Amino acid sequence: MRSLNILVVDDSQLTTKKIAQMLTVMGHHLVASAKTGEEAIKQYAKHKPDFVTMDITMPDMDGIEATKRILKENPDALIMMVTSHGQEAMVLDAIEAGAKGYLLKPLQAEKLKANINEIYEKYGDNID
Amino acid sequence: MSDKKSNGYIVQSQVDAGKFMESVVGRTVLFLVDEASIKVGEVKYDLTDVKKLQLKALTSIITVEDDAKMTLAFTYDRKLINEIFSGYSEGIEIDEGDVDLYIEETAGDMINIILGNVLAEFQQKGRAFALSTPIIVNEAKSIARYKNHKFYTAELETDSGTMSIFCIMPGEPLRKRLGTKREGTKL
Repeated sequence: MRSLNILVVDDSQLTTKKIAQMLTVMGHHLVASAKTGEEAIKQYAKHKPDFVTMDITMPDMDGIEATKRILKENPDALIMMVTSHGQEAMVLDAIEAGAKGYLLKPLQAEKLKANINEIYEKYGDNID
Repeated sequence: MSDKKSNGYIVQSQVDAGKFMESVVGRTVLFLVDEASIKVGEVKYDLTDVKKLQLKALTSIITVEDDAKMTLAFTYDRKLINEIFSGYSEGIEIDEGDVDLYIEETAGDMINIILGNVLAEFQQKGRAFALSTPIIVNEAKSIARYKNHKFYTAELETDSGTMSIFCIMPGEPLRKRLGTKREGTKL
């Protein structure tokens, strides 16, 4: 798999740094980060990343709403929820919103890598 | 244990609060070991009414919302939260001037991850508890009990100091879904 430009959305800067570090080790590139849903939409429009990791609980707009709005304008966007919420109803909401995958915190590099690879292999055909 | 008058469940006994607290403590113990290599020694529970809570050097607070609000607080000795931060941020480059901010974020991440995981054990199909974003209090102070609210506490001892977990529930019968469908929490 080629190196991906990835947008990381999380209101915790420390979590963003942790994900960025893991992505770097995997050979990917943190193209931008966002701390809110609104910011995520703007950063997506600006950078058109290959992949997005999206938190759910954030100030102002949550990750599920941000996912819906990004996908409305960019139906091919590859968005994976990375969240502490393990509740089934929350997972279903995210999938219904169009998320391609769901990773539960605490973060583990191997799981992050496996999920990105799986989603990219399954849905990444539209990415050159 | 279903409440036939509603779609959810009623929690008003110490047993239910105890199960919830045990699960939170269990996840906290795992987090401390996995993320910061900190082992927990003795855990003291107080599941009776506590009249006053003493906050330590740093506290993270989160609310869980169903039909009513429940508040959870994790409060840490300074040395302990510093140790947790060191483990949690291991390998990450952090500017000296940002350390205090990231210590607060560590506390916020920790309560968010633990509660997010615990609530999955108590979920009811089709509905999800809403979790607030964490609030951080950087000051040791005491909180008196609100009228008609109950405090439940657990204190965890480690070699780096102690942390306390407070669960603050409305005293009136609270329609929510805790106390059911709990899967194998290990302490």
